[in-house]
Amino acid sequence: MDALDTLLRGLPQAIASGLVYGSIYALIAQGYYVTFSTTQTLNFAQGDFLMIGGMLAFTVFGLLLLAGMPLVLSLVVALAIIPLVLALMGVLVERVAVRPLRRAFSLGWILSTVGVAVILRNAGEVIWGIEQKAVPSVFGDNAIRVDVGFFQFGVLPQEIFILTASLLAMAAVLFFLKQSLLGKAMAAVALNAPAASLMGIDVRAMVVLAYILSSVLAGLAGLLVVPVLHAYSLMGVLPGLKAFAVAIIGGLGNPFGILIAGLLLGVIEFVVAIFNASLRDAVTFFLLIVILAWRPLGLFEKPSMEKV
Amino acid sequence: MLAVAVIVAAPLVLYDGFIQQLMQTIAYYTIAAIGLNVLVGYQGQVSLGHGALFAFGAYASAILTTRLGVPVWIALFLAAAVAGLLGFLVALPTLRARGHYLAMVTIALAIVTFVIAQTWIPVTNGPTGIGSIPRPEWFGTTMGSLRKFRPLGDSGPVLTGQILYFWVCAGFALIVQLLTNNLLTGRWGRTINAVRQSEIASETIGVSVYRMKLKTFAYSAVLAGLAGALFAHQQGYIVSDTFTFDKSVELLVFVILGGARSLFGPLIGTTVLVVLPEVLKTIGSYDILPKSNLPLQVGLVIVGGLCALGLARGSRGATRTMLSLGVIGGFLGFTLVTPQIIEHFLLVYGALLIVFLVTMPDGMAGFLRNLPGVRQLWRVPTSAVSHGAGSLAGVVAVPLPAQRVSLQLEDIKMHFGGVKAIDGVSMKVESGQVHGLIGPNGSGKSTLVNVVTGVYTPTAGQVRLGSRVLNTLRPHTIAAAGVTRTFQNIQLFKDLTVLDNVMMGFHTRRRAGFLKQLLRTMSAATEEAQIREQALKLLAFLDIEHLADDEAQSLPYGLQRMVEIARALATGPAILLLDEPAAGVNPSEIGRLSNVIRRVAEAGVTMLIIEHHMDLVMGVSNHITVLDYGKKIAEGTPTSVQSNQRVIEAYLGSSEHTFDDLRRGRVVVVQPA
Repeated sequence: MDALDTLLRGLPQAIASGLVYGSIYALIAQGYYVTFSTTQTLNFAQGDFLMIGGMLAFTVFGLLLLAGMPLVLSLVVALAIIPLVLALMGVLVERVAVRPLRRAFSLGWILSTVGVAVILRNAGEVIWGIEQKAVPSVFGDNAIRVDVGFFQFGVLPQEIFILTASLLAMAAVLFFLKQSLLGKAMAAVALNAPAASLMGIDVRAMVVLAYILSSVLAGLAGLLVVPVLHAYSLMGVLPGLKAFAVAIIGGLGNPFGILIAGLLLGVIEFVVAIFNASLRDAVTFFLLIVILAWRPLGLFEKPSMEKV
Repeated sequence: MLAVAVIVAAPLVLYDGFIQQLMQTIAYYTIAAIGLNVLVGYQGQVSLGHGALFAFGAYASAILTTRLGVPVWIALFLAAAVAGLLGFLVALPTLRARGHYLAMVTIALAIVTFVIAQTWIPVTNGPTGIGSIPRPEWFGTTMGSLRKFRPLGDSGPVLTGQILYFWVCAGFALIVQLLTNNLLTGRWGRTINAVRQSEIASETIGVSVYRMKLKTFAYSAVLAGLAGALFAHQQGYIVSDTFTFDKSVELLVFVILGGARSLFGPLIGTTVLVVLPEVLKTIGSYDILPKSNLPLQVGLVIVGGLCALGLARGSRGATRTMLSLGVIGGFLGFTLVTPQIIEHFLLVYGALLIVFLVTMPDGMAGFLRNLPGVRQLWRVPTSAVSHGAGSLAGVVAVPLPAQRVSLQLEDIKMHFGGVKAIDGVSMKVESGQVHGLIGPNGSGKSTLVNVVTGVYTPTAGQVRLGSRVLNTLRPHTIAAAGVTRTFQNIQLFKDLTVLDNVMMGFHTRRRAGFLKQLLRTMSAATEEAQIREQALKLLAFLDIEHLADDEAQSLPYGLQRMVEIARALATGPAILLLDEPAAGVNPSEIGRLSNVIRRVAEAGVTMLIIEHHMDLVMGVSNHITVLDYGKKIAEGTPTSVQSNQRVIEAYLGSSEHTFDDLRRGRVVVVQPA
């Protein structure tokens, strides 16, 4: 009875926090989806791109605040700089670590992007030091308390911003992929690169674009989370891996599945944390094993039959 | 022998406790890397969770020896078994799916294992760790201790516990290397290569792909566990922080950089990657090289950069080798003369990883093999012996007339959603016959082949071979029961030689089990030799024995088809299904194909031939069934079918033409490539 009581009392808060963090996992995971669907490769340094995004935000906020600029301006400047830098990094990773290693049966790209991750973690430490950094939120630190009978929980304004902004960013990416001509060209490359090339689509450019998109998404995620999580060089490791689990559970070819899986896993994590905080990080991966054993293609993917 | 001598001599020459410990490390990581290479390189399944299996081995051995008082020697083997069992359990549900899913599950395994190690304090002690893990004893000396002693009297060599433990680790590594070589150069290696290249073709010659993958995964898990146990007893204490996801990546790096799908790649990769960091650190800490010398730094960056640009533009042979060395040299040189960088060693490690991966796509072993002049040393001389065209009966177990059975299809339905690809077809392939199956495109012919061979499970109806019901069985069981096939789009094991492809066909009749292959016992070796002999005879029967040592993918289409037929015949089929054997075959080779079909039929193999090429199918068949829109529209002798009005309409759209028009080219029916 006690356990049930604890659960019920903690549930509203867990759901609220879970949705916020889940939306971040989903946002990073969309990056995996974008590159995997066009190139069958993904960037295992995605989580560390988030860290770079967060660190850049710290630098921008720090410099502008010292110069006496208002917080909102910092956010605007960060919003301009972070996508630019991350896009460049995306181009670089694709060119140096992925393209030379994309061959049949090659696993090289897995290791080389892990290599990128190792470099970024250590470069982050060299450039920004090892101490954890706080970044102020544009929306202040006064938690909004919701206290309606059974529903008692608190959220920070920044957390609402995280949820809204990441949902909007995902919507924008999906709209771009599904509706724009460029997005359709990327889909064509994903389905059949040689045929797309014969139709006049620049396959290489599409691949680079996919890497740019995924990197920018991770950078944005970093900008969003630093006001609630401290920025440090290893901050991207777990979110990157959890987002990977989300992408697998949702289905690497299914952006809506990824969104749902992200939110779901976020909530499950926080529900588990009600009872045992140290198991919070393990539950995602435990679920991944169970779900893959049950549905190897993820929750929402339909199996396709091989034709001979 | 040489290897044993090197292992015995190495620690005596390199008389330094630290170096000896490094050599122990190389030895046990090599064990894990060898196992991982079997899985990743040969089987083509990625595991990013072998660090977890390594951790399980380490914890199992540590707990067994410290808490349960199990002797170290026994604990080592138990730990390997525990890791193997765990690997088996994880792989059991996972390997049913294709593609990269094993990679994903193993990532999860690595992380879950780490969290368990961190948080399950009563068992693992978490970050505090398990201490005083006993080391094995030998000559009354605790292994790993630095105390010197002379076991062979005063004039004998001076030994330490450190040296003894190296001998143990290296001894294990040597045995593992030899046994694994046995596996990989024999039938096991051939089979997992085949599975990697075409799962569906492996199934139709009787290989249980799933079981094969499972066994391979378990084998590599056992080796990871053994390595972990050796690690635990070397360290004396283990803490959970050692077993992060990075450990799994590290093991994979050893394999890929060393050279996946190469027998000694894991050894090379492990050695270089364990030694190189230490060398770099040592050189970095002495003032041998000029430091922070700007012109030198810039020069090295320019050299490396130019070489990298050269590589990116694409080059081959010796130029490529030189450029690769230039990139690596430039990078390492720059690192060594830039103290700010070498202090952050992981930064260098990450970059080094990328540099090596990009410059040596086949790993170090592949790089060495491709050096000018080395390839010739590697090549094994061919051994094809000409046996002349013999009879099939002497080569494969063709069923005797009394044992021959017919294949019966009863009211088969195969629906894909709303599409009725086959809609109630019944037919009987009488034993000893060549039965033709024709029909316009999309009439359901290939679907029917897929149903009979178990690639598809029919929506309704029954397939029987004699009295045995086939339609609930998996393709490999159906193959073992005596039904096999060739494919419209040829499914050979491309990288294997013609001979190896055909030897694969004998899979169902081989008896030597895993252990016998591992130890390469007399009976396993004899069996291999016999099968080789039989495969060569089979090639001779089809007049292609001179191609035995050619890579299958190097042959023209028509000859590839012959190899595919040879491989199918090797299974000793009661019924052989040929799915459009003439597709893509040069017109001048059609005569040869008909000839082969006739000779196979004479030998007593029943055949079902799906074909568009009318001359061929009418020429060789005794009996013909015609499908249209998933239904049988006619059946009978070739002559009766050709004059059947429904057939003519189905093919030519009207009854104004005859089949002769089709043959003479007055009517053109467009066929897919």
